[in-house]
Amino acid sequence: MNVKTDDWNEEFKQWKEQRDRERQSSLIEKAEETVEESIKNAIGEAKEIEEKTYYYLKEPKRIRVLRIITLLIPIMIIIYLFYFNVIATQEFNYFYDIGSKGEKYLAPAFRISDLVEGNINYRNLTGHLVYFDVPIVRGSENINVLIKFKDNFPEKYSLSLGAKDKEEWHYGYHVIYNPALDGLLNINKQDKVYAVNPNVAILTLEELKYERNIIVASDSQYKSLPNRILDYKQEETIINNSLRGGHIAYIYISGDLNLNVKKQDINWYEGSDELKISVYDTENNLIANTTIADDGITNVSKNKTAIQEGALQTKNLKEGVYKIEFSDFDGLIREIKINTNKIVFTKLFLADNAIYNVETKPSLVYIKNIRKGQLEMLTYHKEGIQNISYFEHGKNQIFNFYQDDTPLYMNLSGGEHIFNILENDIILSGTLYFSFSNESYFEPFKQRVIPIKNDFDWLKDNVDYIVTSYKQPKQEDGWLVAETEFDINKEQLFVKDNKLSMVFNTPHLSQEEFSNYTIPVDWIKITVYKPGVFEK
Amino acid sequence: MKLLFKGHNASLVNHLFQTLLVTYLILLLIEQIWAGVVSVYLNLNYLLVAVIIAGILDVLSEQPERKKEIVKKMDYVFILILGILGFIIIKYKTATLGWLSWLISIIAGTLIVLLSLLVLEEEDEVE
Repeated sequence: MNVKTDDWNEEFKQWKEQRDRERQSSLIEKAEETVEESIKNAIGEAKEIEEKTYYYLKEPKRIRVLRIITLLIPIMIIIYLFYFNVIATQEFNYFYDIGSKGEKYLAPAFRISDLVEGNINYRNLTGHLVYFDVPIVRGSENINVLIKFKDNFPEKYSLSLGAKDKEEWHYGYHVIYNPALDGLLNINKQDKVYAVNPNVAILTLEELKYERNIIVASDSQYKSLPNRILDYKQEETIINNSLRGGHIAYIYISGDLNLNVKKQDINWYEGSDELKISVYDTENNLIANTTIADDGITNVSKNKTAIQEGALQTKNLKEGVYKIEFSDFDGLIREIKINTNKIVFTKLFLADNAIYNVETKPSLVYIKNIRKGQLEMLTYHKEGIQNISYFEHGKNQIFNFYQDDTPLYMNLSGGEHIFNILENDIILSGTLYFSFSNESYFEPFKQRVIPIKNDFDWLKDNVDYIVTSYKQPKQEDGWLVAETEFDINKEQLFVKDNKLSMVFNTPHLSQEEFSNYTIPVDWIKITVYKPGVFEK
Repeated sequence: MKLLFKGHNASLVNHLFQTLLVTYLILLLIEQIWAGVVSVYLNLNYLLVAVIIAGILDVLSEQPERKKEIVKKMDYVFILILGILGFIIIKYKTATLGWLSWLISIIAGTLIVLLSLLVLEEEDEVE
């Protein structure tokens, strides 16, 4: 038994040694192979380098020089591109000859006439909005636009040039021709600030920002600072006066906003009548929006339809002023319910009148005039003609609102006024904010900023300052050459694919009665300015 | 076929073609990422014409003798880098397509890697 065990152990030992030897030799073989391969590779590489070196040394000098020149091509191109993109200050000039044959600058084609040939060839703008694109190089800051056109405008109408400033359809406008602003030539000014009211100081744009209780008319993006309201309370306000179509309201709120709106379509015109409600902050950033759909009637019916409801909620709003835009639609806002005690409107179209299929009931409107000015009143129907009673300086007064289709102006002294409007169907506007109660009234901004109205007499009576970069066009052989400048960064213009969309705005051409007042345009000269890195 | 260039001249033409082609491709890539940076100051079509002419001259020139290249680990790493780069560029250019952008760029990146591997291994088989 023991002998057998010893044999087995011996055999096992031998087998183990044999196995280890085999393993070792296989490892050695592998290592040898690797070393061999590495040496082979190294020799190959060395040979290659040797060949290359030999080839290089054998290469004629001119070939070597040409090789270096070839390498310089991309280096030169990169230096050239870097210089023009970063270091160089440049001006890019574009000339759009609208009077040339085959002109393709303006669109859409149906809003431009055929070529009119004569001493000066030109085309007419025949529609309200006519677009063109401007190439914008990366890093550009300013765009200067010169336009040669003829004055064929009806009274109180102007020509503006817009530049796209949002991804969606939105343009920031510069007035390039407004005969109503001819009067500015006799007004004292500093920078772009004209002191229209002779009783106010002449200020720079920077100084103007800190003035209080003034009215500023502007065609630029001049903004006033919002006020902090101390008597704001988060409590429910219900406005159950009917309002016709689009309105703009300012509210003061903190935290959550709960807005409930009831609307009723009146279907006086063909088409669907959605009411879009949008909330913006003071920087005009969209905070929230909602839409109340059409009532399902898209033809002209004028029948009484169901009231529809919509709600808008948004949370954690920073305390401050917010703008609510109610889009224009063919219907009435029947009720607004909101969780703040502060809400004012920029304009009111009061509609509680039987003409709109609702009960005629009086409306109380509260205003606070910061200076002497005018309230504009307008109705489009005989039903809107009425005596308007108002309370001013502790006295009841009556204003005879006696005509339709043409606005009437009521002179107002500074201070509080309460209007009792019995019949409604009236549009109230001016340099004022309107509320439906004393408590809900507040001043959203430190100054009142309004758009420039094409009526210089009205501006003189109602406005303290005009902020405009408007330059009087120059006369040139019966034509006018107008100029304006856009700042790409300050005006936050929207450049896409290195192109900026611009638009001619001729509001009169959207009205049938003025369709013959087409505007001849000869050319557009555009200069895009790109500062170099050392000029920024 | 009669060769237009031989020896050192042929190698110079080849060098010129490679330099112009790589320059053109890099500028094209820059233009795709930052539109207008190149095209406003340099018409890339002119460069393309130069690339095509250099390419034709190179084809009509003497070609250097092809030697066996050993496939190294670095070649695979390079292919992987190209695949990732291709994926990033396509994702950037198609970002507005949402989930489809991910799909397109992943497929494109994978294709770059697979095709490059195919070319690499085909060469091995030929040799």
